[in-house]
Amino acid sequence: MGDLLVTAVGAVDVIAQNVAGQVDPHPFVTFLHDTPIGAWVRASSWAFPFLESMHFLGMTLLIGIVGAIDLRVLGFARAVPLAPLHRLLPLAFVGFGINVITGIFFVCHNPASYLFNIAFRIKMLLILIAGLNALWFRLGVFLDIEAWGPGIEASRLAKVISALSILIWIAVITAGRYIGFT
Amino acid sequence: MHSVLLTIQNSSFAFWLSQGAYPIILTIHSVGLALLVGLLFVIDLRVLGLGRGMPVASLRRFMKVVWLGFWANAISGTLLFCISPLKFLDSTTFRFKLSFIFVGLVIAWVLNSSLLKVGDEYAPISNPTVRQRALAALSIACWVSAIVAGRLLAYTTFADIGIGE
Repeated sequence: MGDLLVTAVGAVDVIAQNVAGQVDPHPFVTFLHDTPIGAWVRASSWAFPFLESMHFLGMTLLIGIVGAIDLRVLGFARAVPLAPLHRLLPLAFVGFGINVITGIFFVCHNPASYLFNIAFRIKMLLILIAGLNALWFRLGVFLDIEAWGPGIEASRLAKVISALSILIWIAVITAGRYIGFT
Repeated sequence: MHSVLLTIQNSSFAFWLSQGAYPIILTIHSVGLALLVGLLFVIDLRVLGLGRGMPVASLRRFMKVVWLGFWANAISGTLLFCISPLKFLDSTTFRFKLSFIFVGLVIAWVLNSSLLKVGDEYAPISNPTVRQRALAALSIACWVSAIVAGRLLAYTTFADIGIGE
């Protein structure tokens, strides 16, 4: 991760010079661009709409399940016992996995248009924050899952984390939608 | 009808929609999608037998958020439509998308009134019938198709006016 950041930051400088027509693209950009994945997405007229459809499906699965858990913790649909709802979480990870894979395809298709895009960078940062927030929930307040039966009210801290989760995921969607416009 | 749509398409309102407001409306449409379809997926999966420990009736309050997502998307969708109404009406993909949404909504309404709204929220688990499970599977298929059709619309409808991905 650290290496990647250094590479990315280094690449920004290279691109800045590139605008002035001085040097070639950063090797990392060239590497991603020249992967078979990138070549396939650029060559196929169906690849991009197909990948985008999968990306939206993954998003819906991920945010639908995480959002349902968050809403329950916030006190909405309090009759829902959290343990069985939480057992749907592997499907949310399936959604996330689909989106990481399709996301890599998007980036390889035109690396420079993503890696130097401020909306893309904010989106990646927000996903990282959403992950840490979920980890905080799981390790900090959601230790005894079976105890969260029907009608049980969550602690204030659990509610704050869940409210943050919803807001962060909405921000992720927003940043994602702005990638094409920045 | 045609002249009304043409007037909309050529209005400064449609121009404003296609410029600065466009990414904002798209964002609302995407968040609405996550709420509407995401929570319906959770309900459909439970009807199909996943997360069995949850009483089906305990999920009924999620339907309020589902309808919120629906109205967010009906409104944002109408605004997107106004950018280029003639092209949308002419698009087979658009007709498919609306049909999938219509069937998906009817199923949501049927499952809500025949299953989720029946009995006490805290009542022990009642098992959905085979017919209800079939409807839940059809619901997932409809919403997946609606999403795919919606994605394709960005290419068939907006590609030549330079909007979209």
